[in-house]
Amino acid sequence: MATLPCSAESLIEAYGPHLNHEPPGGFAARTAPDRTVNTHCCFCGQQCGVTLAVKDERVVGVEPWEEFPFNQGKLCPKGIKRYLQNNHPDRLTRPLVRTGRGFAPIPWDEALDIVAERIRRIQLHHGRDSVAVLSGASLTNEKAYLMGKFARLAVGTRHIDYNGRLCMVAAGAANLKAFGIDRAANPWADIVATDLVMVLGSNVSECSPITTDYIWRARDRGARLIVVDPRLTPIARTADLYLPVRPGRDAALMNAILHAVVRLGGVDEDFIAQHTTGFEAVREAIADCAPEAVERLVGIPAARIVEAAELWVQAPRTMLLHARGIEHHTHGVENVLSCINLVLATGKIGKPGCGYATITGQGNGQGAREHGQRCNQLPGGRDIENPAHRAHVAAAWGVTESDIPGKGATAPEIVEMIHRREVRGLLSICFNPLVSLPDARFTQEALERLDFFVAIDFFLSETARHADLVLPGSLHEEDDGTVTSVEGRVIRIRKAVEPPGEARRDWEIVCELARRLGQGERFDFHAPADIFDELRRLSRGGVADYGGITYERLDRDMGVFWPCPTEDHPGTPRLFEGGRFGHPDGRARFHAIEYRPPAEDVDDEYPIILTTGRVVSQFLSGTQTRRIGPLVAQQPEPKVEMHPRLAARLGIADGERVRVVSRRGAIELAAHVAATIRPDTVFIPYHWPGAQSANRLTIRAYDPIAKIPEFKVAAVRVERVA
Amino acid sequence: MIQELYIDPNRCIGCRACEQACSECPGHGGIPMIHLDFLDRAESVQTAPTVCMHCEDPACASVCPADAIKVDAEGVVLSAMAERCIGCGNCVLACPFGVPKLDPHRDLMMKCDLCYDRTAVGLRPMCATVCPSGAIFYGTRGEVEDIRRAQPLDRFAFGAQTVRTRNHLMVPSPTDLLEVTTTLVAPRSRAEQLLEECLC
Amino acid sequence: MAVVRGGGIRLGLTERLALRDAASVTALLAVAVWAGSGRFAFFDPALAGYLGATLVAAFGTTYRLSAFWRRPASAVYARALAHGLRAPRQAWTVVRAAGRDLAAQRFIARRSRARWAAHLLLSLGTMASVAITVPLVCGWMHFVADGGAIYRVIVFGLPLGRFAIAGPLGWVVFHALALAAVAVVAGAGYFLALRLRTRALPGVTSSFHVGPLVLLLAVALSGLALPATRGSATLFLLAARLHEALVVVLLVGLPFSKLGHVLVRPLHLGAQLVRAPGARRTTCAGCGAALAPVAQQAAVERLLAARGFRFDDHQRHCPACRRRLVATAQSALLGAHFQPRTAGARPASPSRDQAA
Repeated sequence: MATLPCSAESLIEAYGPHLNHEPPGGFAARTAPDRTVNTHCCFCGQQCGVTLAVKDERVVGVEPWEEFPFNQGKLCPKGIKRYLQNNHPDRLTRPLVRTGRGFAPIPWDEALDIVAERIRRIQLHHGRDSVAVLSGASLTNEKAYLMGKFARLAVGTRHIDYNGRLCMVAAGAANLKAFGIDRAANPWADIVATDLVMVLGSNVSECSPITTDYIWRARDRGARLIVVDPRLTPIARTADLYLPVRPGRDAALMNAILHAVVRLGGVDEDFIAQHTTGFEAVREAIADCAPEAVERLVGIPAARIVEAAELWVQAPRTMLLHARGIEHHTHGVENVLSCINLVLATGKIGKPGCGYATITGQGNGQGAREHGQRCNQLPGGRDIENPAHRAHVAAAWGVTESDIPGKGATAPEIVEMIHRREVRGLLSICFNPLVSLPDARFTQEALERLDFFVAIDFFLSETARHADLVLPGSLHEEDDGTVTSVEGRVIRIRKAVEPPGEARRDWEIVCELARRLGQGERFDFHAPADIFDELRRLSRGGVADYGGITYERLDRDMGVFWPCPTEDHPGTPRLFEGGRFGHPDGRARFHAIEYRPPAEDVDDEYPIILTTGRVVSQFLSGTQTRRIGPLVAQQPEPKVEMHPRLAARLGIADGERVRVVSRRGAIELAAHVAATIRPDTVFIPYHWPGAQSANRLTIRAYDPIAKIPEFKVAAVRVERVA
Repeated sequence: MIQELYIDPNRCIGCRACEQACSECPGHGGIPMIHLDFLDRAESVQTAPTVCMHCEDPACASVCPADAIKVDAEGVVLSAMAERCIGCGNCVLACPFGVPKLDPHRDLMMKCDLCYDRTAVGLRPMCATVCPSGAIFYGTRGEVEDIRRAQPLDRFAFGAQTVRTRNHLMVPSPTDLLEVTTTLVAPRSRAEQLLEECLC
Repeated sequence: MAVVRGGGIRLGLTERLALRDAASVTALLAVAVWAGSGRFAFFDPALAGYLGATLVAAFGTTYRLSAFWRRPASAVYARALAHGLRAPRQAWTVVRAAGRDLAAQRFIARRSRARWAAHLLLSLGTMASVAITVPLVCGWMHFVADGGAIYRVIVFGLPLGRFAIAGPLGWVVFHALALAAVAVVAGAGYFLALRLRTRALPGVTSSFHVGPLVLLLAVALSGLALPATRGSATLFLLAARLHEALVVVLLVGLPFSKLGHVLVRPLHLGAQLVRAPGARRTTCAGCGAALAPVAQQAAVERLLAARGFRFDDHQRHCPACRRRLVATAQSALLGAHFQPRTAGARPASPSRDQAA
């Protein structure tokens, strides 16, 4: 049973979140560091370069790393205060075992023996796939690769998936369908060189702040800016054109823009003929999507939709950027494809200052989705259901093809299988589903039904509180490795300090577990570089080809863009140059998109749209950032953002407590009344757990292809708390 | 060429990286000297960072009873000397830009001194180094004029008073003088107008 | 203000008054030495150098204090302090504040506890040394042997008491200076070490900050050398000359060095009176928040006006509203900047860097 071993309050008392405000000994005591280490921020997919200051083998501060080309020293508040996760009082430093009254320390050997024994016992009774592995997209490429290999060879389960399922998968699936490659098509430098930036569903200012500077540099050159978002975000405030789309209607809007583009004669017939297939179906599908026909649906006057089309057609070079705002939907893949249709129909891709990208959210959102910790994928971006791909990987791993399990369930499906008791045992790392998955009460029920749950974590996350065993792993700054940034640039993470106490580096724990599961010889790694070497050799010939990338090159060149098949290959900053796409015929694919409504639309009972997202001072489920005092101080708690007109109708004043109710549950928060959101929509940031969790309201509805949850639309009602 | 700060509140995204970075600077451990204000959050997301503008004739120094605020040879108005500052707050009342703050617990005036400790050793001020939107830029006038459409401005009118500063505010076109009026209502941006016309 | 005109220096009113004060105090001190030492009967000629430096220091210090406190900005708080001392109900508050922030220097503790401890040692050690040596130098106090084991204390020519040389009081009398010197060494040593540890920061090791520390340290150490070199007449003479020279430098430089901040600190008490929690406050013209005590706001406006500043109504806003006013003015200019020209306009013009 995996109910909490004692009250949540006493767990919080013992393991936090507590707030760390100052470097060790306080600011006054901080003097010249012993050494500095150039590495990257542990948080979002921008992967800004940052220099950590180390004193007495502890990380005591940061210094901007101005030489790193992507951010040139620029940092958001998370990057500046990230060092406070080191030396944190909540840090787990010994393996913990659940007792009747909470958790107690246990020796490593004993803990690892228990894990191996329990996994094998559950598999003996319920089959190999009754144990699942949940992993994360903040892990390095090395660890992401290792988790896929570990689950399939050491545990022998088909069920491994990761929290990138909540982030990147809609864009990834659409990119694969349309282009045959899942990566940002252009390096960020192309944003600066463009004539029009179109940003959809991305609160760039808070979720990828460094991208703001790229957009402004383009504007300094005279570029225009279109922002599509139900909330008037800081980047939207000064936009040339702002389209406050009704949540969930992005595909209808994009179809209408494309309709207007066709009407304006802005279609690039030559490009379509030479480099794509399938446009005729699109032309038919959008025939009845005139701006005038959909303006009520999308919530934007037709004239503004036409204006967007005009700006798009007039601009010689365009960059279309989108993020979770259009992807977190039951039709997330279709939303993305509708954007790609516009890009392809006008031939605006594969050129300097001209192209397309999805803004990856998680720290290693790009790399962690390439190397085999996804349920349907093998290293190098290979397909687990493609026999040739399976044979290639099996040969490299020294197993027969049949030893590699088939396609498994996605992360939300794994949680549903746990709820149905089809999965009995769980190993998780770098994932806090209790906060991050939709319908949090359901996730909690599922966790409570597990027979055995082992979590590798550095802090006791809300999810890890349910574990039978907690193994203290490593923080970002305690290990070497590589990640792949939003641009597709592979970069080096450098170790600054050793893990504290008995804590071990994640890969050492996983390799040790593999040995106890009888697969030691396949996990005989002595350093992250060993794992990277295996990964890059294996990726050679795959879509995400790291074959020519070495640690030495990364150190020397400050990163290499994949694909990079050989060591003398310069890497590939820009994809699709000359209109050559990743499909075998070299052509991109159009996909005719019919608008579909969200899974749960508003009605009389639940008349308001709830949309969720992030704030700049917190990251994802907040396991790290809710422990950093200065970040928590920036926004201590979530609030419900609503338009003054809606607030007036509901009789709510700014700051008042309100109850937000959906079919899944209700939470009470303070109202934040501001004229910066559509009046039919409310917004709640999702970083907080329990009674403050936006995900107690969201719906367990998924995109049919990518299985990404519909975080961005749920029907709610809002009431004053008497 | 003299390096200075160029502030463009219009680019500001309100992320508070400047405050967090400022609080990391040695000398004022944990406490930011830079200000980040919402203009009117109920109406707009617009925010503005404010650093000391380093006035040619600093009003703060002219009213200091302890003669604690000094101007160095390069025109940098330094933070109050701790051994002299008596925590009266005259400087807070005098500064037209609203920059100095009084730490009532320590009876000490604190303000941005252009990251004296960093700039003197060739580093850029923390706030300008980290600012993700470029709202705070540190460099020479030539550099900023090369890369920005907006133009630097260093003369301000408050009432009948004209103030010339070492640091600059960025404005859209060559403008000699920014008239600071007493109206607190910013004009609506086009995006803000477009939100009002959305169909619900 | 001293004004140089036509080759000569014309003194402003403040300087003339300060010179008057300095001359008066120095004259009074000279008379006091003459009278207090029984017309130099008890004056030790060996201390003549010290006396000279003391007179110079008295002149310089009084001049600085008087001139400084007469500056319009300082006078506001000086007057508040004077007024507070005269008002029976405030006087006790002032005395308590003086005990807390001048004697115990608690305001430094609120800035840093270690600095406070070091500063207390340094300042109390210095002031104790002054309190002990000035009466001796001026001939106001001397000791007369009364038999082999007893000393009589003579102050201003009058017998004040007697103590046994070997007794506890005797020990304290003979070691007080040494104790004070040890305190100075500890305090100055701490601050020097702090400055050396952070020497990478600009200005930290400037002569303005380090000079007085080194000087105090040297005075204390050379003072401690006096009893230590009793055995050798040559060494003792050397130590005595060195000590005298260092003290003379310290005294003469006192009012113009960093140590001069002592003269500013009493204004802190005046500021506390003006900012007393009960004081009536003005409110911000923008947001209505409490702004400042009415008296202080008026004083600052007067000071600014006297300096020719005319901020008018801007001055009646709180700092946050002043910042918003500046940003709003900038925003008003930028308002039109990002509007698209007209729909259907030409594509963006070539960029600056392309054109270049």
